[in-house]
Amino acid sequence: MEKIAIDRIDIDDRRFCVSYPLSDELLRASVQQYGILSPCLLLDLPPLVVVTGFKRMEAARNLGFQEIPFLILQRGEREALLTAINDNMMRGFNTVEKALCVDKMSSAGFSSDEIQAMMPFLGLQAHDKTATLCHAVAASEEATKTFLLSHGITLNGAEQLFAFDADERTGIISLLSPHRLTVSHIREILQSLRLLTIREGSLPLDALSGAANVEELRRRLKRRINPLMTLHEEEWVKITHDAGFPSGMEVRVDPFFEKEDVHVCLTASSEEDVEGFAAKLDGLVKDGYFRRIFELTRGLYRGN
Amino acid sequence: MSLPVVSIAETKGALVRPCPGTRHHICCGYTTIDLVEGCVLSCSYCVLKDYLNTPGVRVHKDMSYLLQQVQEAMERCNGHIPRFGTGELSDSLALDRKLRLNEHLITFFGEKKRGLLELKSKWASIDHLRPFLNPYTVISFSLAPPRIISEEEKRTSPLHKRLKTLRKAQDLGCFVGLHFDPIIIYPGFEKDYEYLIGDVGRILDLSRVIWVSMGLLRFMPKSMARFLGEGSKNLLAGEFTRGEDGKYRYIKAERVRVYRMIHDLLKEQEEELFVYLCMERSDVWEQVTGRRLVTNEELIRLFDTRIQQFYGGVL
Repeated sequence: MEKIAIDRIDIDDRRFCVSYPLSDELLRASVQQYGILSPCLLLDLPPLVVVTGFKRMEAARNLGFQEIPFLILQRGEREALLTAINDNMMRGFNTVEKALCVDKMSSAGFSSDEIQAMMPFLGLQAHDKTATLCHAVAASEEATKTFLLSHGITLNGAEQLFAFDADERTGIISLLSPHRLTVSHIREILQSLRLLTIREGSLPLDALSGAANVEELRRRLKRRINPLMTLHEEEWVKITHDAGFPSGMEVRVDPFFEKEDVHVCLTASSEEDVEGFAAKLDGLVKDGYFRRIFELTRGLYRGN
Repeated sequence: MSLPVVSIAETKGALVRPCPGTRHHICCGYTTIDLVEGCVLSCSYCVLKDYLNTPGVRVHKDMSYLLQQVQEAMERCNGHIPRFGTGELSDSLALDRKLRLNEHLITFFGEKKRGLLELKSKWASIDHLRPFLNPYTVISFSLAPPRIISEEEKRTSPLHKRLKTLRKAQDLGCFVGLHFDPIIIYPGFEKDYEYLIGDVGRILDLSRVIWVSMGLLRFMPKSMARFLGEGSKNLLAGEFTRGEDGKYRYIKAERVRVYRMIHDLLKEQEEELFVYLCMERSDVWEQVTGRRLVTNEELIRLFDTRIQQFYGGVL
């Protein structure tokens, strides 16, 4: 294979780069072991521009290689970009790479119809809204891209994050990064943060930061979004604690205090057990515990 | 903001149907006439945006087909006074000056004298109906504080026009209905409702208001995503929970508080007003009105009694 000196290539020209991130430890180890086995495709421009092989190039540079195997592509820029996309399509694109494909097509002068025709091949819905989101993702800061990839967030999921501006996104990523989060946690938390931003006019990040874990963060969000519901839950915990329901007696209410009914389940193995439960229930009624429970389930509790 | 396209739809299938109601909530047993599907008013909270499959407005113009169905529904309704309305899938008046559909219905109900037609609207335009109006048509308006009308019901008539039109309907011999629905909780809404109900009391003859409904904002999960996307501050100000029907509603403690407040404000204006809750739980009914309703049938009976008070033995 013919080789070319790396310094003859404009490695900073990334107009055809649809790979993200460029650093790839496995590929680096492979290049170190075997060298670059597939030639990089270079567009015949002065200076030469990489069309495919950005990751190989990155690995070669980091390893101190002076030259790389190459092939020259003699085509126009639009065809070069389509070549780059098609060449990488086989391995599958991540969320950021899909966004890069759409964004670079737009920069290369492809029409909206042409871009939308490509989108289904990228696993995207052919909508203007999706294309707009792709541009936002492609232009986003590194921390955001890393966050999307490290949490396996799809472009659909990214829409929630990009409802916030760049500063807010940075704040949200710092808030969430310390925690182990599932995609559904992220969805729920972003929805809550969006709601708070709409209600309060800005993101209350200071009040939310420093949570010990994701559950603590969710609790803080809930207290802020649903203060009265939180008071209901705290009152319910207090009632069950103070009432001291005996073993074999289970008292249940609707977790959202929407249904009026209170379920009292007794598990008895003797007549004496039943007698004991009856006496306990009588005491609980006289002491006002059931009145307090029904205040919760009938919508009469105001937290005071 | 472009206006939805209005198209004439092929009239087939059931256009006259009982209100679907919702599980575990008391329904008033209304019968809907789906004369028009879709709405040009485009209120921000409108359930039709997430309920109807097509974005435009579909109009059914085959009146004889439709009136036949109304006739059959009247005949099926044994032992109760049937109430019909065209305001379930559309606004009853928004397009009517152009479409001229209501005059047929109004005339039909006036001739049959077997039930009531309710025209429910946010569009203050009844002059074109003057020659046809009769006591068997109830003119109703949804009422909301001016802030909500200007921010969330942008294409609708302002409050003063709605109230003026209601008064005009009363002066023309119609009974009127008031719908405080949706009631939206936002900072300061309590004071706004106090002023609103004060205006209602000053402008209308409350002894000729046949019914008043209250319904707090409720919406499908799909709408929540829309409200978040649109940054709807008014609509998202309260605390919501998902009800047994899957819809978002304000939490029960808030519903009870707000319904009681508005109920009391209305009763201060006119003790005899017939105030009902739209799609609420039995226990909320009890906390608000002191009346325990367990079945839809009980509410329908209350309507019958109310209508008999207004119409005597005519219906």
